[in-house]
Amino acid sequence: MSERPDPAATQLPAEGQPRVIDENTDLSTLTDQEIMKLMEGMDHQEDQMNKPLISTPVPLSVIRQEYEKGSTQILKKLDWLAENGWDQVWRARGDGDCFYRSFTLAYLVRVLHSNDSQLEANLAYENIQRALPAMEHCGFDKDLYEEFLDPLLALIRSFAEEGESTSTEYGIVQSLQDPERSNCIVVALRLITSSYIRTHSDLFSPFLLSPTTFLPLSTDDFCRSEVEPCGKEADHAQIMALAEALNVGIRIAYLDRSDLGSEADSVINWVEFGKDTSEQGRPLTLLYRPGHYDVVTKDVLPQV
Amino acid sequence: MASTSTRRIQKELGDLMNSPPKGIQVVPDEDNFQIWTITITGPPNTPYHKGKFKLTADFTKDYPFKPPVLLFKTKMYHPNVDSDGNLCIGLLKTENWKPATKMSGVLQAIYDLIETPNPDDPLVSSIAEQYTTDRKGFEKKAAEYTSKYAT
Repeated sequence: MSERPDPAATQLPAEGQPRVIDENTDLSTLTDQEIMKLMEGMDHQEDQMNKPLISTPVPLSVIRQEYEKGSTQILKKLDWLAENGWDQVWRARGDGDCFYRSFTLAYLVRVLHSNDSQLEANLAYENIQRALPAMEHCGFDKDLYEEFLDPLLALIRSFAEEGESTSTEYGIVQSLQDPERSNCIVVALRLITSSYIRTHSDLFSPFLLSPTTFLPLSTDDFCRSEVEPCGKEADHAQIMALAEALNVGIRIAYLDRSDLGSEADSVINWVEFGKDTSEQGRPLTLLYRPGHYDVVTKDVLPQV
Repeated sequence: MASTSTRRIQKELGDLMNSPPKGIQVVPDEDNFQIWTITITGPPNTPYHKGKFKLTADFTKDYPFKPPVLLFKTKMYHPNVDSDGNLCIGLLKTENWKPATKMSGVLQAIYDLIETPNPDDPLVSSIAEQYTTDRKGFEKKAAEYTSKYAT
């Protein structure tokens, strides 16, 4: 008697055991449960999930090293950024929430490094308060969104408190590395974004497409499938909505392979959102590499 | 640690116990309020009528950022519920889950799914096919299951 297992038998899973899905599996035989498991696996790609939600800054040269053997177009853009004073990158985890996490960091650092952070914190606080009626109008439960907003408001209030503010870059990063606080803020920003799109449907609806099929989506479908669930990447519509809702400029440096010529100010393809994206308006500045956002800043030395 | 999660579950539980939706009863586990037993009474004019269908809801530590896990403990003959009690409903899929979705909405959606099966997104395709092509046969079998397992 051979002890070798029958090869046909090994392919059949034992009763109640999940079967092994590999490149030989006929995809049309996948059940919803199996597809669900596979999708979850994609969300939790381990190398990403071990990274911090947002990191302390690394020098821009570290990013450059990743491209040293790669595209000269991208190297040229990174060199241009470096020459123009952009010298540190705050990496966000690539889990689909990276835009919202990057936004939060850049938003708080912007308050921290303003000439009057107490005033700036008060303005940020007011801007968030102004976004609340739209959320209520869209039928989001007040108790729920207040709970999600609370960690963000608490951080902003910490800048506005009487006396010496103890807020530092390190303190901000530490707060945003706490999954619970960071996830609450992501949800709050998603709800602000969604309610802005929903209440400005006429403005947005021509641009609301499914990122997978490129077919138009209704405002409601778009918000329900692409804005409100965690892990869904932000595209131009979401970024524009959040910039408008919170009245802050956002400019994004696109690190793609396009060649924009060698004129000093056209090496980088900047995509801008919100009212004031001039240097004086101190817009949030993000770095985009296909499918991923990080924050890029010019290092600010503490005033002595 | 997970204070958002804890507060949220307590609030949801309070709401559901104070004003339970029609045909739905929620009881938390004695030792762990993050596990609920839910009893849904089969909707009228369906083969599930008057059946008592038990489910468990398990709130992971990532709730509300990840969906709760709901599982039928009572066997039922339904295109969207498999023999292990898994149920297939869009708003509980990880990629669709919205942290602002309330449990009352989730339970209402499950009630609606019992009332109106969704054969276009089946978990058990044989039942879905029977539901579409042989409604009488489907209803007979579903009613048999109801009287055998859900009373």
